[in-house]
Amino acid sequence: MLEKIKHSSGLFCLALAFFALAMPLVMGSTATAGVVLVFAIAAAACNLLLGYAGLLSFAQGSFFGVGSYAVGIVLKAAPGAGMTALLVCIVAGMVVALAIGMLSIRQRGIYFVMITLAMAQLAYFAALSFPQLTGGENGLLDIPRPATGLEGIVGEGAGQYALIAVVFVLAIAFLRLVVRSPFGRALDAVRENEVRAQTAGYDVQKLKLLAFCLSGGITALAGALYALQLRSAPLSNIDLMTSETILIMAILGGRRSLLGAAFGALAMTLMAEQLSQWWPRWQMIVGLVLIAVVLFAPRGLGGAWAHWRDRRSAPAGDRA
Amino acid sequence: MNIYLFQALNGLGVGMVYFLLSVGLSIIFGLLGFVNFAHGALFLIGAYTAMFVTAQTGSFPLGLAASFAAVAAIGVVAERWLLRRTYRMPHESQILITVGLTFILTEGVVMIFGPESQQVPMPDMLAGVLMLGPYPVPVYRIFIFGVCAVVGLGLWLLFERTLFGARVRAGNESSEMLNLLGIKVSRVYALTFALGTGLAGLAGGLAAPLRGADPSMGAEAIVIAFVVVVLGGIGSFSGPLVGGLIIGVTQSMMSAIWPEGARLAIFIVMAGILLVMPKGLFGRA
Amino acid sequence: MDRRSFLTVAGSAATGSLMLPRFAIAQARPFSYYSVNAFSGNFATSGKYSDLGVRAAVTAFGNGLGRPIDYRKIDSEGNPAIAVRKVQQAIDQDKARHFGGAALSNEALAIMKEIDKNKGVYFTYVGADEVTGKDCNRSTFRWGLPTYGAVNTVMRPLIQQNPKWKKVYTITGQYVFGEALLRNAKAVMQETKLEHVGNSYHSLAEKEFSGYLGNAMGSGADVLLVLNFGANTLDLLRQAATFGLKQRMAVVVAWFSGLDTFQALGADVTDGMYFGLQYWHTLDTPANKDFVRVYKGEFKENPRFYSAADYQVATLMFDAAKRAGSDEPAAIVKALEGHSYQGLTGDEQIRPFDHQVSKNYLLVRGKKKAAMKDADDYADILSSSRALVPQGESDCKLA
Repeated sequence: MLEKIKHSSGLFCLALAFFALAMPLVMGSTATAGVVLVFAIAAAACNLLLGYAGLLSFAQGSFFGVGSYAVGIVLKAAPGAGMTALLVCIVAGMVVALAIGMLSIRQRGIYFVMITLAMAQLAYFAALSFPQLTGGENGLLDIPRPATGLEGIVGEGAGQYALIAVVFVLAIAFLRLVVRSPFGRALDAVRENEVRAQTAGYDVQKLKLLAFCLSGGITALAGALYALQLRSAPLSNIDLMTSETILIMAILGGRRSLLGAAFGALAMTLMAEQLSQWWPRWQMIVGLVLIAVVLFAPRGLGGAWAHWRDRRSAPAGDRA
Repeated sequence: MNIYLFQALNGLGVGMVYFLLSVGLSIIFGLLGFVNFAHGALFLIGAYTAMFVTAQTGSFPLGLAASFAAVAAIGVVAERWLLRRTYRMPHESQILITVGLTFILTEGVVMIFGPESQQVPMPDMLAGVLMLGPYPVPVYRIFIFGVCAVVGLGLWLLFERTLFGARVRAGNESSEMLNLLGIKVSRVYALTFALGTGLAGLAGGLAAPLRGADPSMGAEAIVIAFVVVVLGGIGSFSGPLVGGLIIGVTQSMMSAIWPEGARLAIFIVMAGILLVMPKGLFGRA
Repeated sequence: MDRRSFLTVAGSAATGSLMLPRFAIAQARPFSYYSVNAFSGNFATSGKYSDLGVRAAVTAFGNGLGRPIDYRKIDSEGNPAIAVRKVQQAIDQDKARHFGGAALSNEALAIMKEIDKNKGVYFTYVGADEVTGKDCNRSTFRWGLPTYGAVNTVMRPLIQQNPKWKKVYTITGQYVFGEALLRNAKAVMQETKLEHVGNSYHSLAEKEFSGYLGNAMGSGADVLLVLNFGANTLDLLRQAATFGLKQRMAVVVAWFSGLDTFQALGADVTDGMYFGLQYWHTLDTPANKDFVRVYKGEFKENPRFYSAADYQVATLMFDAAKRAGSDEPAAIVKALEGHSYQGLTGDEQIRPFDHQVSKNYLLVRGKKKAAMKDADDYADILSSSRALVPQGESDCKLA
């Protein structure tokens, strides 16, 4: 079935919509379901870089945080801005990604990872250094939620969730469009063999930079939605832990699987939610799960089904 | 003696601990191509081991020895049973599995010792202060410098003058060649892992009287370790040494020149050096 | 009786009996109290002791409300975003309305907005001025003096007792809280004609303080005033001890947690240093004596600040519900405003115009290891006093 979803965009969008509708039931409240969708968007944007462009970026938290702060600053100054605030955040994310990208893209492999880490630290430092804009360690508070047009029809929490759900479907469908486009295939070529791609005439730097900007913009959008959900933009949105969390979700879901990213976000959030109620040392179980996934489902949750199915259907003799 | 010179000297001491912390990461990455995100947790375990053994036996040298041995043991076991399976996997799988390991190790420490920050008493002999002009230099920091220098010398001898070292350096270039030459690669890997992780543990044990033993030590250490390794150049031995010293001195001097930015300055220096020398100071192409 | 009337009678009997247990359940409906803290993650120390404090409060309050108290924990994992979301979830799913605690100021500030929006009531004890300052709201109360009180009650008595002190060097965390401490410290220094010879800022993530300590030692100051919190303070003091700083200047720490941080440093480090505390377990007040008795009875150890604070705020909440005769947050808020009571630090009042508790702040001096009468006897209380921003100068105007 996953194969069918992979090949049909209609079914894909349907799967996304189904995921979004099911989330509040699975998680028990629209607040937590909203968080799953927000991080699913961020993880999927990370997949674009990781699985398609071959870039492991520790700066995703920076874009996430920039989006949170941007939506807060805009809506506090102009509460009537509504959805345009979200557009501003996407642009802000892309601009920051452009800046970080121009400094980092030249590097390869682990050096690229470390430069993005350095950039992430710079962003964190900047957030602390301008408390008038960001609230410093207290965070930006009292962020008003924009009107969704659903007031009076459904409760505020449900209206907010509807907004997040719609953006979720649009954002991931957009990412799918991107990875299946010629641009996406060019990224694949770059990831597989950069030198060959360069000789074939692709402008590798520009492709990477564009992927970086797209990822940054969408991650910022996720951050903005998160800030709307929380009605605040805390400093933690821009710290290293957020980058790490987004990366873990993206890898957990399978680095090339956009739908997998949603499941990665779901898995991590669900584990945190359920386990933290019973045992303060719950992160140990998360650690065991991560190790188990790497050992037994190396292609992540998104790839696990395909992996298991392949192993079952291969005749005993030529199981690779 | 002015404040900047004092800070620079102080920074050398700090830098030596960073060297000890990072050299293991560099060797492991250089030889195995393995990104060990659990390195910070190993530093953490070294600190707690030193604290525990010192408290139980009353002997700080024993605590230090234990911090090396215990973490080296963990490293060997983890490598053999867990991490070895991931060598052929892409980097992000290695990151995921070592992050998982970090969670397990950190929460394990909290389960045993509690979440509180714990003190590790400074051995009396080393608790004094040497006056350099108007500036006091803690004897303990000189001790750390000394220990790291000795360890550094030992490592240099190991890598440059012994057969084992030659094998590690050869494996750095090409592990296939090593295999073809009939050398048991898995043995080299295991010993290298033991050495690399043990050094991180020793760094933790040395740092403990200065920093205490605290569950969040690992997160901070891993960032510094990666910065130093990348700055110095992966796989090299002199890289973490020079890189660690640069970072230590930068941090110290910045606390006199630009205190709020002292942490940030570390990353600016790293980014700056990478811009000019993309493979780090001593990295191979 | 015909079938219809039989069914009617049976139906009403059935409905009646269905209602009966519900009526009985309504009588025994528990008072739900949600304690928000970090039970996992980087600040798990706070959660561990907070839990003990709430449990002691529940035990001590017994059946005061005439029904059970349902104590629920919300694990913020040390992350304000997670705290907000879980509070939202508790309000959505469980109709939670009574909240207490928080591991850090950023958590408290974020969740107090949510709680206020949903007309709940929240009692916290974090340090940020803004909680009863510019971000104050009708639903939130705070036990614990913010920076004005901390700095004034620590500095003024010490300056009076030490006329030889002329020059002060400050090491300040470069974040909102540190700046607030510094602002207040500068005001005191100006008034008392002390010379502020220099200040070193450091960042939130800083671990290496040797540079700043070098600055302090080179400044020729008599006093080092430490204006930060949490791990920053611990790392700074540990390293200060290795530099032998204590022998060259007095060390005054404006904001310190208490027993847990003394244990983290050890008496050799804290000996001779001055600390400002919200709470200390040897406080000689009737309320504290009761509390320590209950706490020690249940947990066999002396209470830390978090335990005491959570105990105090939970008890105040339960007591307010009892006095108001209602669970309704609005009624509880009304019962809390202006309330005077015997608190852990002595006579305490809840100021109606900013919901800030007027309580005492302690100035203590660290003892030598040899002078400690028991394993927890780290400090002698030098003074217990209070200082609060007056209504005219407050950023908060609730009344």
